[in-house]
Amino acid sequence: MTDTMAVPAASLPAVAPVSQTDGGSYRVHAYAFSAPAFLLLFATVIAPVFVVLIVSLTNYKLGHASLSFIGLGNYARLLQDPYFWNALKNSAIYTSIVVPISVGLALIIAALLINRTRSRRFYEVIYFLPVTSTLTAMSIVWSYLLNGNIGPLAKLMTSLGMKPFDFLADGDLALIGLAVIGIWHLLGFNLILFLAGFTTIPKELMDAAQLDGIDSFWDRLRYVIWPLIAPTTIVVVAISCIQAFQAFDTVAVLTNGGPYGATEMLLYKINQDSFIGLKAGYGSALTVIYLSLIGLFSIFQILASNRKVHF
Amino acid sequence: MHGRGIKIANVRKHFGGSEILQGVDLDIQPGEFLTLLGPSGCGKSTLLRMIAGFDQLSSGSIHIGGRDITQLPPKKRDVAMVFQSYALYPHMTVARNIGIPLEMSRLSFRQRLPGSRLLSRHVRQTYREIEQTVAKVADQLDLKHLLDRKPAQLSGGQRQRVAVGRAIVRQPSVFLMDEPLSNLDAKLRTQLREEISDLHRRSGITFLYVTHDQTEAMAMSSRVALMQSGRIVQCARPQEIYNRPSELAVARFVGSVAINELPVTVVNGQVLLAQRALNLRAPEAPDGSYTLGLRPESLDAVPQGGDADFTLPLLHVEFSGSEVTLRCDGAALGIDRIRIQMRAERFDRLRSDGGIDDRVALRILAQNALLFSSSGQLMPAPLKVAEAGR
Amino acid sequence: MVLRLLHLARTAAVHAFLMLGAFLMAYPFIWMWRASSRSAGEIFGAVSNPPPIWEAISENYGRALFETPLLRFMLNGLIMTGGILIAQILTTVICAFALAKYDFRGRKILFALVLLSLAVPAQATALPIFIVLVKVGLLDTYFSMMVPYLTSGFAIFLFHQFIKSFPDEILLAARLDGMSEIEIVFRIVMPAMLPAIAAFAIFSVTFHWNDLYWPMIAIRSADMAPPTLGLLFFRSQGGGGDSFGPLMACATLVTAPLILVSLVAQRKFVQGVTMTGVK
Repeated sequence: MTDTMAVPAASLPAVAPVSQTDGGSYRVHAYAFSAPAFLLLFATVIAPVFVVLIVSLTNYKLGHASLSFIGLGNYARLLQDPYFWNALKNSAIYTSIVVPISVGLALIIAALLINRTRSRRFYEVIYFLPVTSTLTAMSIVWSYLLNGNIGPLAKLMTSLGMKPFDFLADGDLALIGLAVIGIWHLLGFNLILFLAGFTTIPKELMDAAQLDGIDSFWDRLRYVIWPLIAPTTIVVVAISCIQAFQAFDTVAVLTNGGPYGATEMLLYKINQDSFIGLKAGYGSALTVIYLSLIGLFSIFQILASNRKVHF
Repeated sequence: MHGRGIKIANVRKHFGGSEILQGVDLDIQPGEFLTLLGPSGCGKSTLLRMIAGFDQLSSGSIHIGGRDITQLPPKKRDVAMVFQSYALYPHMTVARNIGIPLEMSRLSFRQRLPGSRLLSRHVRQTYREIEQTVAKVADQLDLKHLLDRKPAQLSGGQRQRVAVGRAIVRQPSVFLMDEPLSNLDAKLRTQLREEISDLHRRSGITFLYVTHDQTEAMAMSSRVALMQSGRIVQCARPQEIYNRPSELAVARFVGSVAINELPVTVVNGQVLLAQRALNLRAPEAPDGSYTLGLRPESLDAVPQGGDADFTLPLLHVEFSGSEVTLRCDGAALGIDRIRIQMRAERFDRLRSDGGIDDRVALRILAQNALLFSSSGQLMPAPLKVAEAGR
Repeated sequence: MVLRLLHLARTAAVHAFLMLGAFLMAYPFIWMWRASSRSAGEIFGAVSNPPPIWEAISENYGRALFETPLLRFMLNGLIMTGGILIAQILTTVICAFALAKYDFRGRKILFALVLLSLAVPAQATALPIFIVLVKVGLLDTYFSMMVPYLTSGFAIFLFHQFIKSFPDEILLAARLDGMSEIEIVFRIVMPAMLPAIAAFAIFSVTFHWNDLYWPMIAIRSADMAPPTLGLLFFRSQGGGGDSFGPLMACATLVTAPLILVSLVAQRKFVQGVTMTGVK
């Protein structure tokens, strides 16, 4: 160990300056090290995406031996498929309930939590519980909580003399019922993201604001927190949209898309058409739509996380 | 604007098990420029934050202009503050940054809602007044051409000035500054030091300035309160802090070249170094061991063979413009190094007539020498030159 | 004094709001635990003489553990999450190292592919992978459970950011000391990035333990099912009020491991799960 330290660097021309610039002597290492991950990445992500794109142009059905190219036929069919529009509409409604509420509540709770030094940890832990929980298991629990006969909310409403909601059995309410679960599941995640964003607001700035008279909750939110947290908010909104469009577990466990398609959302329809209906071509076309939507939100997210400007 | 006095009485702060402030008393006169000086972690920033109202006191009280402000929220304390990081709102223009305290104090929550400007003439009028005040302040601080910029587009010095602008626009009676120059380069720091001093003179308000930089403290303050581990060790004019530090710790902290500390003993009022009598008497000090503190300029180089207290090997000469600092080997005196400072001309003269070669003969200037007890307290009685015939 | 009271009232209101939210967040867990620790009749009201709680607990959990294949499901889940995690770490660390510390032809393209893969949700690639698995007859195996996740673009990206900031001088010194490149990765770089690996591990395990989508496609038999899918099998078989208690006990046991970990190592957990979001 020590004798190598004594060797002056200048006498080691071959070894020293390689790391960043000259790939030459480490080319083999570079390829060998990156090969496993890239072969897998190619096989499980890149290639499948292209396969989906290609299959979406065919009438391929799982289990059938033959297929033929039908151009954009699947997409044309898709535009006329009321079930597709229904699924897209349901996903959009679900998202437009879940995202504003889970983001807005998370922002307010985070703003209330930053000044709580002692109790903050406690609330963080509790609010974060649903995020880590197994949604499949919790959905089963929720199926009882939202039940119109035995659920606690229903009992409360009955005792108040109202007609209880039967969330999951009622076509008008089922999507709202799923959205409630979605909000419950997402809120803590958004909260933590906001709290992380808040740590980037310097403490001295909050002090200065107090001295300048910005010391009520709403003023702080308006003049300091909200403008400084805007880039974080875009990230949170984008992530929430992605999560909402990926809603699947609750549908699969609780409603199977019912009653009468009232809760059939995009991902669930893809799953049904591809793996139950075995319509691979059509399912692939749906997947391409889904992929573009998620990709769009991802781009927003990446743009916002690189953004340093305040507005 | 009128400065008000600050009276800090027996202020304590516990945090967890440790006591950050251990009973601080301080009386700041109206219009004074007082600096809290101390190493990091000594509690000076905590004290400042308590005066501003960001931190709660564990016990004690703070009065500003005779009014107990201990329980008041920050904005009602009639104080303004310039922060170390300047704490400008990054999303607001310079004009908005300066004007925001006025906006908040003159307009109600409802009047500040978007659109109220269109609906109410009164609101429009107030915003116009604020604009005029901001323009005036910007003019004073030479910021007029920058009013539409955002803080990110400003240099460090400009940001500092905006922070000052935001503070003075409210016409406070006390001005708090938390290391406002520490993020700037040396040259700018000297310039802004002068600007702050000018501002203090012009405005006549009370300045309370926190820094760990003793040069800054010495240069600007009318008084310096030196803090160490949660208490004020000495509070006095800069000259006094430098010339008569109450404790060895103070003496060590102040001065751009470190003070020389010589282990001495006193026997019958005679000061002995390494068993040899120095040309120095401490008539009122009881017998025992002491530390003799000598500022680098309290040692005078004399022609060799004359009445020197000691002669030491010269190790290094450092020029810094008009001053020269010599470093000598202090092994013979039981310490590592001895540092001496003198005017450059004097050094040249001594060098050319052989007074300094590879050895330097040194004499202690008794009137500036400091004697500290073994617990680090300054012995109050001044030292005297020993009578002839030692 | 008035100010103080006002302040106190405001704090109380804030806490009341936060506590209400916390209660709603925790209520499903509380309900699940209560349901799993009582006899069925008691839950839904009409039992005048409930058996003691210990009896109900041992009854429900006993049946969940020994009369259902729950332990089998949990073992499958363990094998699946463990296998995925090990494969991910082994493939991504060295790859991230190559991308961060070697300059070679194609590096930029590879990195672009990594970034691109971040925008592709796993569900979008399910169909082609499923078709291939059917063709080679590997459906309904541990391998089929893990195959889409054997590497992770996200992990490569994350580790790349970390290794990029690892000082080159240390690598040079290690080379001077005669270490081979693979040793450098495993003996120098990897120990330094343990916190990042731990955070990713938590993220990965949470995601795959809770995943239902892919197991539903890749697994057909109850023997191979991970916990999520197993719960669905179990529910569709039982159904009646009699197996309600054991069902809730199963749900509790499936949820418990991650909840316990998240209570014990909360910081790390939050960091791991939110890594997708910030930076």
